[in-house]
Amino acid sequence: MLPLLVISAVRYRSRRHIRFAWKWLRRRQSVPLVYFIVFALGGFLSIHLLHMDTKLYPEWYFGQRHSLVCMFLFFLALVFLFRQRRFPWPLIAAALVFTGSYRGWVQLDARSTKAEKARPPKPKPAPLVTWLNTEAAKHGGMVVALRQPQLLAYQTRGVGYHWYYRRTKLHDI
Amino acid sequence: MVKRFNISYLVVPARSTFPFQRSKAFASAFKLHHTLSRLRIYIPVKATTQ
Repeated sequence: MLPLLVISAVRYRSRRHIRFAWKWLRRRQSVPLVYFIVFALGGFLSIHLLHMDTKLYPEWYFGQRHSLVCMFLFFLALVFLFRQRRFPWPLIAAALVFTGSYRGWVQLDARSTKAEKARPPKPKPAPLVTWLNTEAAKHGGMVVALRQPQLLAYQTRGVGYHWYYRRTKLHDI
Repeated sequence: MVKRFNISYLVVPARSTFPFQRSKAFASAFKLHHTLSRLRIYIPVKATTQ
């Protein structure tokens, strides 16, 4: 997109175009789009400037979820490309969309397949889980006070949990 | 105290002692019901008498 921007800037460098652009910028109706452009640029720059601390983040964030804010600028760039009237640019935009979508889909499929194959077999339930389920079935439901019940609560049926902490007093049990 | 949350069992890791276990009232409020793979399961005393 940058080369295209440079070409456009060179082509539209006349005073008439600059005056038109300035007038467009000062229009009240242009404010939302100007805001969007500034926001998109800010998101893009934040990835490249704020997170470039090599000690804290040795890996470039562009390949991580943190670069999601860049999508606004990519969206604008694609709109810019699609709006070009000369032949190769809309085609390049379409190629970018299709190849990007295809590659994303292939990678997603490969990752999910790999994760599914690497999934360990379902472990046997812990003795406490078995005991709790048996007791709950016997009593028709019960409440148990437990430290960190979230580790096994999803494996039990008919058991309510009362969570206690290291500092919990007896009258709070 | 047991009526407050109406718990049926209190499960405590066998290797650790929680501050509430050190209180004198604990022995009268709960009694050991079962031990299970490094866990102690206590039952409220009032519940056992019902």
